[in-house]
Amino acid sequence: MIRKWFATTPGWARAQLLGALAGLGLVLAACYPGEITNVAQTDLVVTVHDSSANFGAIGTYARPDSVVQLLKDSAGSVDLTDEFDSLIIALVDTNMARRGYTLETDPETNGADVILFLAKIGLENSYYVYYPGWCSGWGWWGGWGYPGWGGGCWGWYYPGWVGSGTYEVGTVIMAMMDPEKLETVGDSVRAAMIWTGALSGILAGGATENRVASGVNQAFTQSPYLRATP
Amino acid sequence: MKNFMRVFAIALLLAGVGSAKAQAQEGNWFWGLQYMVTTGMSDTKEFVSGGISFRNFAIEGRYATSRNLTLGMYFAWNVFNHETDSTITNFGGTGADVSGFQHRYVNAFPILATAHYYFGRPGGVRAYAGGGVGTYYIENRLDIGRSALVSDNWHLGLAPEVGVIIPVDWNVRAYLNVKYNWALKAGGVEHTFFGFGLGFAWM
Repeated sequence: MIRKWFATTPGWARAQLLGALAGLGLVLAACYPGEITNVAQTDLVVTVHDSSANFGAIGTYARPDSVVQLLKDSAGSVDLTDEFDSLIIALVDTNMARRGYTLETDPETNGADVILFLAKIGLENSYYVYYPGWCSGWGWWGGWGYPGWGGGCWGWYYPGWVGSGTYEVGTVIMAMMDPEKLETVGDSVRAAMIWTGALSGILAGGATENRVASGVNQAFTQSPYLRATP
Repeated sequence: MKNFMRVFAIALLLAGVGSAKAQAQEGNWFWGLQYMVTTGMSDTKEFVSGGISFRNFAIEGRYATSRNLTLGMYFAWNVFNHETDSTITNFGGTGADVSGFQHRYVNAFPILATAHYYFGRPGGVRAYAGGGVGTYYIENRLDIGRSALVSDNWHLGLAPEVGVIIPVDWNVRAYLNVKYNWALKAGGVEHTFFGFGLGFAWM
């Protein structure tokens, strides 16, 4: 049949076929044929951990009872909704409990093995390391006087989670610090961050409970080393 | 990438010009346009899974130095893409584990010098074996969240091939082939993929 078609088709028609085949091939071979079809497909969950930390030895954790918005007064910062704060806290507690960690509700008296900070950022950030004063950055800290912490202001830093060092507006950060493991940075001393989970841009436009829950749960799912030794 | 698109388009135009000229030089040149399906192996498979890619296109010219031997050039564009939401450990060497919806792409541009040996008599159905040696320009791209991680490398490579040529008209041939593309390690990445092609050639 092909032979017959070629035998009866004029040269210009064959040339058109050739052109059409070449064009079709080029269209099919487009460099980046994929596309984003909904905002949830831009959600990103990033976790970083200190490979020398012994997560199995952790038994208790303390956390603030709110999700603090960092850099709120900085130029360009956007006010983020508090709508999902209680959901984030509840999901964190659920995931920590499933991994055998116990929430210490009175760390002032009893202490805790690690501190889990929950924060959100309403600023698109082009740098990835930041050291605000502990006291000024965390109003809830107040005079907690946590035993073993030595008092004073502790350094807080954003996790340097990917090479680009860019935070999208609406990023939620969960940061676990070991108060027994101290680092000196410049003139300040701070507790070492041993685990960080960042949900990039999840509180930006279009945030839903499903997206937030999916992000928090995924941060723990992809951190299998977070498990207390029975 | 854009430069390669230009080179590819120019090569395509030259192939068309050559085709017209070749028809006046019956038997000396073989100009082919080919569509392929490919499947990745080794690092290619690891990055874009082992599925079938339908985005492959090649042009080539072969010059007959004897009844049974041709020497030529081969240019192709092979695109692999894959969607996944898997977790990437040690993302970009940062130590971070990252998960999210991802588009992954490999764009490979083989540029090969070729040699083929033909069995059977000229004018009939002919099996052939041969291959190409040259270079592969390959870009690996990972789109995740609102970011992209891109690396591109020039690889030395080779591509053994077997096929069959079927006469369609006095100066037109259909050809089917299987080609194994092996782009040697460059930038820590080695790409290999099989291609199954169907093309038309003008002589």
